[in-house]
Amino acid sequence: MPAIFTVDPHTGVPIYLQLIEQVKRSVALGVLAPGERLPTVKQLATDLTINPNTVARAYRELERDGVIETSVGRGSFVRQNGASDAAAAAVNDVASSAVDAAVREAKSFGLKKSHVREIFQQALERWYASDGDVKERGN
Amino acid sequence: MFYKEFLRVRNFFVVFALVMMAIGLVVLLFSGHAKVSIGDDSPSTAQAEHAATADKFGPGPSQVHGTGIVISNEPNEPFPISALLAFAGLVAAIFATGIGCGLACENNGHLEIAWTRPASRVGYAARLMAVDIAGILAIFAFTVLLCLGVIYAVGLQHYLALDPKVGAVLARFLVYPLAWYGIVCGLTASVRGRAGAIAGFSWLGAAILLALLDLKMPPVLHAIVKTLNYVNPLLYGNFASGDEASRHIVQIGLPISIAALSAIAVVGIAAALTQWRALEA
Amino acid sequence: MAGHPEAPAIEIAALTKRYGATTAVDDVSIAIPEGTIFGLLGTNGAGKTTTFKCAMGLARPSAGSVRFHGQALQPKMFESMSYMPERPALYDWMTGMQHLEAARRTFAQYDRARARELADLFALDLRKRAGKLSKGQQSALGLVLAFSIRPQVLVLDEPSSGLDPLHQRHVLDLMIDAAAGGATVVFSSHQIGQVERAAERVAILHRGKLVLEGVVEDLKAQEKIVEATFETDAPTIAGLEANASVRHLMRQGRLLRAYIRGTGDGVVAAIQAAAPTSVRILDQNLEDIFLVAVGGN
Repeated sequence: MPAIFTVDPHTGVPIYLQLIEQVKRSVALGVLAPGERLPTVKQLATDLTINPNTVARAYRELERDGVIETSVGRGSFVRQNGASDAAAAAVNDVASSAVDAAVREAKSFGLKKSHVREIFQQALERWYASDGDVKERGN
Repeated sequence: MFYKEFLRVRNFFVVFALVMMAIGLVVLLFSGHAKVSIGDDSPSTAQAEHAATADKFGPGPSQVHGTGIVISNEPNEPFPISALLAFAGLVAAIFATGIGCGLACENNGHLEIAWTRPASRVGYAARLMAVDIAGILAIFAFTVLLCLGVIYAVGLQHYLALDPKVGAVLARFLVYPLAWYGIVCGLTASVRGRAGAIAGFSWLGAAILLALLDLKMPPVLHAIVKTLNYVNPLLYGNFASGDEASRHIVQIGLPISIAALSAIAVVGIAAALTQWRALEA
Repeated sequence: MAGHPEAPAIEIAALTKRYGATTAVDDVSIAIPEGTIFGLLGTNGAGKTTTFKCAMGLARPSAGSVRFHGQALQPKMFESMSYMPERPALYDWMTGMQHLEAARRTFAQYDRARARELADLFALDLRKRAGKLSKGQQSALGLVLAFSIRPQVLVLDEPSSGLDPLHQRHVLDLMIDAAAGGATVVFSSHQIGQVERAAERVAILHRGKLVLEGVVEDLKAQEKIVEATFETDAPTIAGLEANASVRHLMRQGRLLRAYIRGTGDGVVAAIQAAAPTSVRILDQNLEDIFLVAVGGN
């Protein structure tokens, strides 16, 4: 199983958070199907040359969030039951953190709240142009 | 656990053995010429032996401490085995001076590897010294055998004479190199780069100390020199084939010599171990 | 290893080492749990090597102690513990093969096949005398020796010095592999990126003192920079210097930077009150954290 994740250890973002986000994204996009097996902690640590406990930490949090399940001796898998819930939650997480980052960025430029709202409105109109809410998944 | 120690002593041994064999070969060639030119009559052969022995011993002890092995000028006088043992003792002592820097070598950048093994420090040093001492005894035996080989090769075995005190002389010249080993170990155990120089100068120092005994000097100074000489192996290593060690003013018998040399060896090694335990990397 | 399994694999307690008037290590306490990769960072002369030497019993601490699973160092612990010094303490006159042979005869756990595999990994010519090897190849031989006994504890002082980038990566892989197998790995490095990648925990030494210690990921999550820009020169904000979460303040023209630990809510509020044109919170990578800790820049 190829390592489909990449991390950048040299940013200020903790590696386990990067991993969590990537696994959630993969589940949301269907790259990782329900029931699919994840690389072992050791394998992923070796593949990415990162600390094994960092990988273990990411897996623990993913398990707590209901995205994956781990059975002793067999490894970690994308959850079968509630996979859609997990995917929805994952999508929501990814999207909201992206929006969050965008708003934070806008604010850092000193933009007013009304101005930011205007930008968002423009973006919504561009991407959701005619098909309204059809593309909407989750929530 | 002895592997590295063994390799080190083996390397020393090989160099020494090659040098000794080269000297032996020169002696053989030289005596061969002597035989050809003089003929087969025994006095002349004895003369050749004398020449050969003088050649062999020439650059060794006689220059170092001024005694040397005195071979009779009479061609027919027997060649004492004791002299041969004395020569072997001297060779072994030089060898011991060389390998006596073992702990110093470890201290010179290798403690990190030497001390991070499942072995106690003293155990490690004791092992190293045991291998060194085995090497010293081996070079002693090698030298004796090589000399006997040369003597047999030139057909002079009939002149070998077993003097009555040969056992005691053997004991003396077995502990003689060990005394040098102890001194060098004790002097160098806690120095880093200069161990070789200290080992080399220890011979020079010993020779000077011995020579000072003969100088006229105020009684106090002389007493000091005399006392210092009690730990001088050269004092006890009388290379004259005789047993009495009447070295200048200090009169020392063979048993005392053996005891003193042993004591020097033991004290030197103990001093080295004490320093070794106190070292820091 | 014997001892108390619950006790830290390595526990350095109030370690101090003085050489004459200089204090090389000053009251350093670090506990390293079993199975962790622990990175030790510091500028030259910060006391990293001295700390290692004291831990390995090569230097006597002036004060304090080092314990392994609750026990004082004993020679037999080296059956499953490897130390690789900063300068590989190899014997110049011995070949690589002879060094391995010496290890085979010394360590019961020596794994010949593993040693060969590692020598190949580092493209090491075992027939060469150690004295003839390049600095990097000497490091490689040191690493082969250290890893060939499959140790439970590894203490590596600058393990990748002199190695090319590919072999440096191999060193990290070996450490990660060892830790994944349950071994405890402690290493020092000048390359912060290596520590950032491989280490779970990090300690930063500066002039003999421990200035920062913790889980790398937590440090990254906690240590932030609040950066504010102002219309005119950045003002002095009352109470900011005294705020416990502010580690360092930098004021340069219209720019104000507060290096904070924790959420820093109070800090952001205090800065906001001074009417900046913008405020943002920046992440810090380990290098930023290191530079702040040692007071540089």
